[in-house]
Amino acid sequence: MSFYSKKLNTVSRSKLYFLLIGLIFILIEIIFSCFSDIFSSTTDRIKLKSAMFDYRKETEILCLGSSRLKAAFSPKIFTKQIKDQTGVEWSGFNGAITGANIERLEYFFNKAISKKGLKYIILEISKPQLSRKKTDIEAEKKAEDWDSKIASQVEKFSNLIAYRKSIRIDNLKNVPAIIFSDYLQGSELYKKGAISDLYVNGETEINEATIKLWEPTVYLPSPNTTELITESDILFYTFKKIVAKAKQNNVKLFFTIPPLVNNAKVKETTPKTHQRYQKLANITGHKIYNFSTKNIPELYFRDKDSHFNKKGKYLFSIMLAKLMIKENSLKQ
Amino acid sequence: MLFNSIVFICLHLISLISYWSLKSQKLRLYVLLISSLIFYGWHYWPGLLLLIATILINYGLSWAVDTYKSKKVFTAAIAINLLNLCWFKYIDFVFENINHFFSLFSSIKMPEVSYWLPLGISFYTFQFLGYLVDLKRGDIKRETSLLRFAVFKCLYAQLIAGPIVRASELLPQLKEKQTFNLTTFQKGFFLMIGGFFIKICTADVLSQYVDYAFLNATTISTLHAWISIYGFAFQILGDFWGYSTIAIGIGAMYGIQLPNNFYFPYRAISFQDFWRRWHITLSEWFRDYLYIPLGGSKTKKLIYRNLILTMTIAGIWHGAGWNFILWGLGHGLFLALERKLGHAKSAKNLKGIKLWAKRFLIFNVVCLLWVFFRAENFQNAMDFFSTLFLPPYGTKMHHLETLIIIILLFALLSYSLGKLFIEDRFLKLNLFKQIAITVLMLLLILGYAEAKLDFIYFVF
Repeated sequence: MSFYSKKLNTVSRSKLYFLLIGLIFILIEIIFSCFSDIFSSTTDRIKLKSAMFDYRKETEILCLGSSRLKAAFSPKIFTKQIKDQTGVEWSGFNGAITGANIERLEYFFNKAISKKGLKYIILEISKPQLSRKKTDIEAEKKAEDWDSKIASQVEKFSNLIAYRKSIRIDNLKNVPAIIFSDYLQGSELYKKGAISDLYVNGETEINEATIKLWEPTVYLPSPNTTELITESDILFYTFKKIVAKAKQNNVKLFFTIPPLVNNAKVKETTPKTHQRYQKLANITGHKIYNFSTKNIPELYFRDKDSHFNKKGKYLFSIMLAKLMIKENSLKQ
Repeated sequence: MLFNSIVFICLHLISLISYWSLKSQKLRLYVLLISSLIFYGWHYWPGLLLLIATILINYGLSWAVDTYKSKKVFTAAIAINLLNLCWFKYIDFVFENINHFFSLFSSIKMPEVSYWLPLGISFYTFQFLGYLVDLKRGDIKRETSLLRFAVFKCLYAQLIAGPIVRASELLPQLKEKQTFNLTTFQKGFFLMIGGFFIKICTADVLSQYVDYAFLNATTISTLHAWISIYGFAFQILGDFWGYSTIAIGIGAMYGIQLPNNFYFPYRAISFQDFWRRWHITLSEWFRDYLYIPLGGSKTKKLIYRNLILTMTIAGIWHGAGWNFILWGLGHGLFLALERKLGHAKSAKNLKGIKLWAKRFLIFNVVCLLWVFFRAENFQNAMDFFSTLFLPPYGTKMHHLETLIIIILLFALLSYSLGKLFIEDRFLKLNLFKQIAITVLMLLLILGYAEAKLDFIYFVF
């Protein structure tokens, strides 16, 4: 084959060199253009989860929130519990991501709400969702200097340039997470232990004492209070929009605050925080189930932080399913 | 303008196409000149005015040196260039130290002068100085064409961070009309890609870890500090070797051959050997225009003084700060010590484990001296040294896995890359390997090219 031929003269070799490199990059450009949605999603946590959710065939239950809910909720255990108790076979997806604040939550919610077959969204509303910080989603860089202006013009003509960050090995690993999202239930492949999470459920005994220990504080919406919300009160206004949109799409919402390890409670159990949860219940007209008030033993948390280990994840997913069945929230 | 930016790629492409599509050498030189001026002025346009003024003044000075053949004129020409360099680069440092000195016993204060540091001023000033000295010595003939003189002084491939090209190397190539050679062009293209690869995929990634370590010099552990100085050793190699390789590649794409600037510096077996491998064009500049005129190694009495003085000035050349002076002084002292003990000569005969032990020793001392070079100031350097050597000794590391992997990979890869870049082995590879290496490098560059970090040597 001439590829390896030493008889090829140097000029012909050089010509072939540039020609083949050009062809390879044209091919890569075509692949990027055909699967631009996948490549654009691989570099951003929320976009990745959102793309994984889009690629799933059917999902009835979606959970949205921060890393606390991500570590606490197993769709597999949750839906198994539902099936065992009610006989209904549903599938779930853990859409929670690390650092999910209100903008990220709303972004994913808006992308997910119209998905066919979606029935329930479990929404975390702990501290990260009640804070507002600029994120990569809203901070789409505006071209300010000539370098950025020219770079953004070049990006318009080439998907390879636009999505070049997805070529990195750490981001390229996310591609299977999107394509095989039906099996992954929200776990990203690159995360340590994500695969084993699918097979090991941290099973532990549940008795009356456990159930009592895990019983959450419930904020009931007050029917007589009329909370005035304006667009300037962005947090509550966003939740109001979320509730309206969910109603419009016939999707039920379940608001929860996941448990906290004891030493982290101080920051999140202040009277002011309780007032905010109550206000949110009043505005949305939904009950809010707060698990963070309970003294859950540290053995369910990993390294004394606020994130569950596998045992904690198992228990929380079961308790959440039991609670939702008990509260009659789950209806087909 | 940075080499690692889309704007530069666009400018380079336009310039290349225009250059090779023109038949007249004069017009080609205009293309090079305009591209170089845009390249330089893009960053900060007032700097361009200074560059143009310096070119015009030096053109006049070279005429005066050549016409009057007077020592006074020559001294004045050198002084004008040094004054220009000192004013923009060292005036702040000088005033700051005078103020510090006077503050001990009086309230006299020098005014604060904050000028911008013109990019690559040390490089182009040294090129001017070298040209004037060569002219005075009669080694070269004066360049009468202002256009060629200007292109020689500001060719964008080497304008900001070298290699420091001598008139005898570049001017004949600018006079001669280059014919397009696809193989040379391919070699240039590969060198440019290779340089980008080293810069973006190693130096820029390593810099993030190194910056963290020097910023937190007092709080990081001993092990963290040691790994970080190795990180910096490879960062600065990647940064500067990367830049030089890009420059040589760009030159080759125009059919212009620029001198090599690096030759496996961390395989050096002595300090003398190190400076024959690191920033070769600068080392040779100092050797030919400072060390030898000072007396070089002719007299045994003065040899140590000359070595220490030359290297200390080389330190100051790199930056206005006591840390740079100490860095140069350190190298000067080690060179003198080596000469005194006769180690540089005896090291040439080393083999096997002794050879590697010597390499390891030299590498580690060079790494320790890099602390002065990298530190923000003298205090920062001292803080870093205390973390390296004084208790409490700790082994805690913060996310250094990537740093260690890159250091090891770069240490392993740099030899093979060096063979490809320096020894021209790329063109001898079969086509499949050539394409595979180029595509892999291009993809990695594309993936990691986002942090538009400056090249360290731009500020020199």
